[in-house]
Amino acid sequence: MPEAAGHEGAASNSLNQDDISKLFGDTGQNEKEGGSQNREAEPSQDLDHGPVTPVKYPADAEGLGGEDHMGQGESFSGVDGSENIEDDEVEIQETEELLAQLEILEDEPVDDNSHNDAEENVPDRDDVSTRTDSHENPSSEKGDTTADKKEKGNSETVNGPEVGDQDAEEPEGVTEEDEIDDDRDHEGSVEEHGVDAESDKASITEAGDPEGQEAADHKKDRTSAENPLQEQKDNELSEPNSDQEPLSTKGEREEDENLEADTENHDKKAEEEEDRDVPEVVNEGRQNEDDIPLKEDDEHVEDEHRPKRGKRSLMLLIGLLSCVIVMAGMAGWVLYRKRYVPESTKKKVLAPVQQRNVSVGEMETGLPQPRPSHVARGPATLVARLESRLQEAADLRDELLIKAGEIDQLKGHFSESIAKTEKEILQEKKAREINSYLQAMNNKKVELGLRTIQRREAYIRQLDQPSEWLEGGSQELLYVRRKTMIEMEASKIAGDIDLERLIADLGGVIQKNRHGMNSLTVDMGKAKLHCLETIWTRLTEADNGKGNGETNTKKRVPNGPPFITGNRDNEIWQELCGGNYARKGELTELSVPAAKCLSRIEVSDLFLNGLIRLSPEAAKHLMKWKGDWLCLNGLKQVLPETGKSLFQWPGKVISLNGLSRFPPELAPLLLKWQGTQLELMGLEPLDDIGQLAGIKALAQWEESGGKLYVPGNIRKQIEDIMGRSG
Amino acid sequence: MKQVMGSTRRVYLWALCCLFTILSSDLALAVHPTIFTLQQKMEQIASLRASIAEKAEQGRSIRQQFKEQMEAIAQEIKDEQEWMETKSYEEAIQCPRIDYDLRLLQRYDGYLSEIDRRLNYYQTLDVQLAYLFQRAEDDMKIIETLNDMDIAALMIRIDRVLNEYLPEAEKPLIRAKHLRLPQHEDVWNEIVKRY
Repeated sequence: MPEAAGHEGAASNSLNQDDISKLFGDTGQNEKEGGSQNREAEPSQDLDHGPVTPVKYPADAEGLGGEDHMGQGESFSGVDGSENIEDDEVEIQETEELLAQLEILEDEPVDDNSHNDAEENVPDRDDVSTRTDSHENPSSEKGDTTADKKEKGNSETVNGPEVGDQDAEEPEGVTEEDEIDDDRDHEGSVEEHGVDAESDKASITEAGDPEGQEAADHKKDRTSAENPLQEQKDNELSEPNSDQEPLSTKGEREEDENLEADTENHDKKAEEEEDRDVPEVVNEGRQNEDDIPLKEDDEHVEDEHRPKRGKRSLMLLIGLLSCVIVMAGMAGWVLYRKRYVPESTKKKVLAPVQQRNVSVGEMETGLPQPRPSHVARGPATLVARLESRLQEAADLRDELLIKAGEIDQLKGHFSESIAKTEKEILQEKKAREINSYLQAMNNKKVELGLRTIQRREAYIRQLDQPSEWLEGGSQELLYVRRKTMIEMEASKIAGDIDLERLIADLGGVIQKNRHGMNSLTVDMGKAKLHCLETIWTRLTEADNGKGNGETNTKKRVPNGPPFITGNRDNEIWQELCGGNYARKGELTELSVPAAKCLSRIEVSDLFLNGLIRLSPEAAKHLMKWKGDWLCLNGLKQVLPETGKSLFQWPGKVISLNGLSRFPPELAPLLLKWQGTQLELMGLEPLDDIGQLAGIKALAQWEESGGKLYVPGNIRKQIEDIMGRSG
Repeated sequence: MKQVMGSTRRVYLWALCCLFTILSSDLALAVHPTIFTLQQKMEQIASLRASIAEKAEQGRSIRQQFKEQMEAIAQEIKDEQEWMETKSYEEAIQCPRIDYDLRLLQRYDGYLSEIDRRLNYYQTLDVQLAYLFQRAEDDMKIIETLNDMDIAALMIRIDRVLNEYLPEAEKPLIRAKHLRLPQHEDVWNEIVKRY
């Protein structure tokens, strides 16, 4: 914007430049020198300050900067074009006065070194500016003054009449300042680089360019070398301009009237003159076509430059505005696409909002996604490690249970061996008629037998320790495993659960138990052996009719299992605990661990018809089995304690066809049973009171809804009882 | 010159007119900024609600799972107690299985309490968010109809609630370190009381 006004001013200022050339024959030379000198100092200046040297001019003191160019230009162009010759004369007179001052200043000696040396000028930039402002620096003054002269004249000549209607002084100052700035920049760009002089900023940048500096130096050298010739050329160029001064004034006055009609003619003229002047420009090598009109007829200059610059400005403006419009359109489109949410889309977005259980992933918002589970949150390897540890713990627990079973088996083996030995001792006692402990000790076979019993009983006692340790280890592993599984499950929703720590804890327990299992031992050094006499006394007492040997042996074993099973049963039991239930029907006795293992079997019918005895402890565990039909047809008798567990079993059918009599102690337990069918096909019709009480309880149970299978004679008894009661 | 300046002015005017036309059409095409802001807030609320609902559902699922496992453990303790024929706590904890099972019940109890506490909190939060969402929806309908409404207070309130509760979307439902485990003996007494 400022450049348009500036160039118009520059174009119209050529008249006063001619005046100046007329008055000072060497003005062109000095102007060039001054301009070059001035521009030599420019590269060292800040780009922001270089071109805004209007501050250095008196007009700038009035607060009119480069930014006001447009405003000033507009104000001038907006002024009515009525001419005022008197004002012109006054202004010309003022110009002449100023030029006279400049003449005086030009006569002062010029210190070229102070301006040629760029390095010197860098620190002295402010000084130069100051001197330029105050016209104290001769060299700067020369350049500036030359420009000053030229532009003052131009502005006064061209704009003076237009401003005449306004304030007589202020517009002048404004015009001088603006156009001095513009023309100076224009000249700088033209002379140094020969680039388009329309852009002040471009000229500023170029003035600051080192290449421009070099060009200026080069020009200066050339100017110095060709000084005489240059002066002559300048004079030649100046003279015709001065001759055309009246024409210029006249053309200026007629300009507004004939502008439209003459525009084309002027263009042609300008082109012709341009063509004519081209050789000179080429010879100079530094001036472009923009310089030429400054030295030609004002009318031609105006006619030549106004349409061209106007066109260029218009083209530039149009291009600029087109870009802005296109960019605004694009921005608007982007905004539209971004902001506008169609109604259908809006519904899609908001529909899930009204549903409670909506997938967050479907919402295209910046909200963080919730962590679905520990699997997604933690590394997969961590979870895999934890699961591997859990499996390891389960495996180790199975190993511990098997080892405990082996220990129980060993205990059973020792118990059986003790029983055999006892039998052998008793046979020897009978055969040798040994009646006292001393006699027994004199018999080596009896003595060694007693010592064997003593040692084996000690073994059994000592084996209790690893057995208990294994039981504890298995419980601990079960607990840690369960706890870890709880934590794993909770980690899906809970923070602060360190899976690594869980792995470590589990690993610690596993390691401890594995180490303990591998280092199981029996320390016989600490074993307390029973006295041989006590063992002998116990044997003889058992032999004297206080019970059979097997039973007594079991009772004598301290801390031993209440029911010691045989080798075959132990084998079957191990198979059961290993998951092999094929030989479960061959079991004759059921130990507690075997009952535990058997209770895990997942079948609807469990046939244990080989069992001849069932301890209350084993019955407790066996009754945890969840099935429908339990066959215990091998049992010859059912103890009341066993019956307590048996009739708490949640199944439907119990077969006890091995029983010959139903003990009356089971009657109240049977009445509480929730099962549906009881088979007692082995009952015998006995007339004792106990049997009758049992049959009466069976009848009551059947009456309460149970289904009873009994032999015919028992059925008859039941019917008799029911008939009597009915 | 006057004519040139006049033509320059015309160009300026023409460019400005084009600019204003485009910008005004853009603005006309774009959604009302207040509605747009409200929609954004509503989406944030909805997303937060969905996130919280998902967490709560997960918590409820785990709670149910823990509850069933607790029942099984309690039944195991009861069986052991009958087998050992123990009545007192001191006797019962001599059995490793009972002791360990009671410890497990402690953890289950702690988790259930914490889950229940957080589920209650989420329920309250959901109600609050539902209220804000509904209010924003109502205001949006009014703005769509009347083109203007002062929603500053609502926006402040929504922002405050969102700023307060948005971190909840990132947090886990419960914190293990916040668990409050009941006493070992209290768990035993509870089982004895139940059976």
